[in-house]
Amino acid sequence: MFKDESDLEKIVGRLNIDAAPNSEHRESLREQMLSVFDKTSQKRITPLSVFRRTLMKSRITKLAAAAVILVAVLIGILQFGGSTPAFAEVIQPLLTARTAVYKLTVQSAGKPPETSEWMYKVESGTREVRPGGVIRILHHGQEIMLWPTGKKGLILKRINIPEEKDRQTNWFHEIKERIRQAQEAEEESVEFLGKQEIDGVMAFVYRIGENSKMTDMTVWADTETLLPVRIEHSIGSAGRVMNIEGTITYSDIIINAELDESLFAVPEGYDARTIEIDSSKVSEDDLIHTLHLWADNTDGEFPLELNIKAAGEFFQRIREKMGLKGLTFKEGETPEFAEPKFSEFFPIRQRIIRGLGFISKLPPESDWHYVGKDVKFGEAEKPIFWYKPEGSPTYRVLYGDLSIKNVKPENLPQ
Amino acid sequence: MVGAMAKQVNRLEVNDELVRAARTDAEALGRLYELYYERIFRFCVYRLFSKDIAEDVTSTIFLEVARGIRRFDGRTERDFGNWLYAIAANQANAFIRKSSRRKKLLENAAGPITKSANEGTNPSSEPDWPRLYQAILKLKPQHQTIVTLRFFENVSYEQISQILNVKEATLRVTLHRILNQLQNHLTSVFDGES
Repeated sequence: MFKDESDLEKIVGRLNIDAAPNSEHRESLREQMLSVFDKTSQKRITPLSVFRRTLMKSRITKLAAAAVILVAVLIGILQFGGSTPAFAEVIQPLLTARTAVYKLTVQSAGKPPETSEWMYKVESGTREVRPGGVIRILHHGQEIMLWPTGKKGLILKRINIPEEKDRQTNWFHEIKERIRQAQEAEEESVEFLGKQEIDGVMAFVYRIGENSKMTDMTVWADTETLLPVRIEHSIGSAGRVMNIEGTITYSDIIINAELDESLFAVPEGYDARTIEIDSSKVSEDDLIHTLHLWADNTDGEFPLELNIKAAGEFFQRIREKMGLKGLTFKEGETPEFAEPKFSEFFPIRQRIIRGLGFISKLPPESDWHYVGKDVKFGEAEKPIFWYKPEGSPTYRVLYGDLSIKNVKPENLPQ
Repeated sequence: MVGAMAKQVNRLEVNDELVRAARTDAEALGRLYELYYERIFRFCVYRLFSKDIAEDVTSTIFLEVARGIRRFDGRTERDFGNWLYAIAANQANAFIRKSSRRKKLLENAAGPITKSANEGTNPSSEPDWPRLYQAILKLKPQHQTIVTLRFFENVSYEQISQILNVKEATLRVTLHRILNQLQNHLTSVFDGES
């Protein structure tokens, strides 16, 4: 071993370590480095300057901009010792974006890709123009659907929102959070994959590894401006209820564009109808109501599976029974909500969604099982569903007559 | 003697000029590269064990320099060296940290050599390079950097404290603790617990 510092110095001095460089690598790296240096001599629009310039147009946001820039610079300095923070530079405009305009393409298994145009504004929410031309806005607890040709609108107003859930799902926000986590978590894997030409520009490519909250993500950034060109991530971790697999791609991204607040509201001259949606916390009762409703509308049957696909098929059956055409996102077609029967259909749809919402929130350790596909409503001895509530020593078992009992694990149905 | 000193001062002044010129002049940057390539590559070999990996990380470091030199605000060669070593330390640590799988690969890379290198030798003898590397790899990333800079690169306490942006007194105390830990890790490596 070694006794002290000078002893270790001597030991290291005696080590025979082959650290001789390879002249080929030395030469090729020299050329590569000088080529990169040459490219940086072109006038660069840095993400920071774009960000600053755009924000400074607004008087209200001047102070906020100064604070955000200071934080961003501090993050860069703390994490990368004041040098060129490659990944930090790339993500900075995303993390600090107040607005964004982008195209979002969903490619899911067995379906053609679907591209919609999105706007995102921190204070306002999102606005999506769907492929058929219908506009969907998520704004302050409301979902607004607009059919521009007939100037029809539907406002789904969420009520009874639990405090902790006072935020709608917003993918752009989720992306920002995911990248922020990747930057902050020491063990998070952020890999530089090199350069690639994409969407007509040369881009640096980074991959953020999968974690417990989200699948892996790839970020392409313009080599000249370092602004994001494309972001891609898999979907497929939504679990047993959502059962969707595929890829989401963000492209044609413009950061901090000026977006007027009116883009996130019902325009003047629209005939808009408001429907309230109960957004209170879902519970076991919601699942029981769902199954009751299902049985009532299917001659006493229960679903084949408890997932969004089965629910979609169920909605279709109900619509057919009621003579409804279904949800249309195509311009020019009459929106379903304008038909009288929609008032009967919508509560059924919401009830089913709440029941699925309950099981989608059950953690894996709840060990939930659904076995109701061959059971008829009223068969009191046949279990159809069971799960273990958090911290409970027993399971809750739901039977074909929709009664529920506490059952010890050793007495669960086989 | 005086002549030698004057030469040294001249050399330093020339290199300071080089650093200032390198922000806008490719030739000056190329000369700085020649001055530092070998040192940085060697540092990467000490930190990453494999010469192939060291080449990759050395590339990343100098490409980062090429992208950032125009914004580098240091004035002297010493400033440049500190900045360069800070980038190198970050990149080497990032490489090791990226996944535990990679760390395992590095440990394994050192492992088989350890056995063959010690066949027929006295196990109580001083550590060879693979054993020492395995023990160093058990330290925290920043502590690994400190050991490499101090004992492999013979960088002064003052300069290490500037590179890592820590107080020199703190660095000395930290190094004392690191050496104790390193001795423990070496014992476990010798005992085959690695």
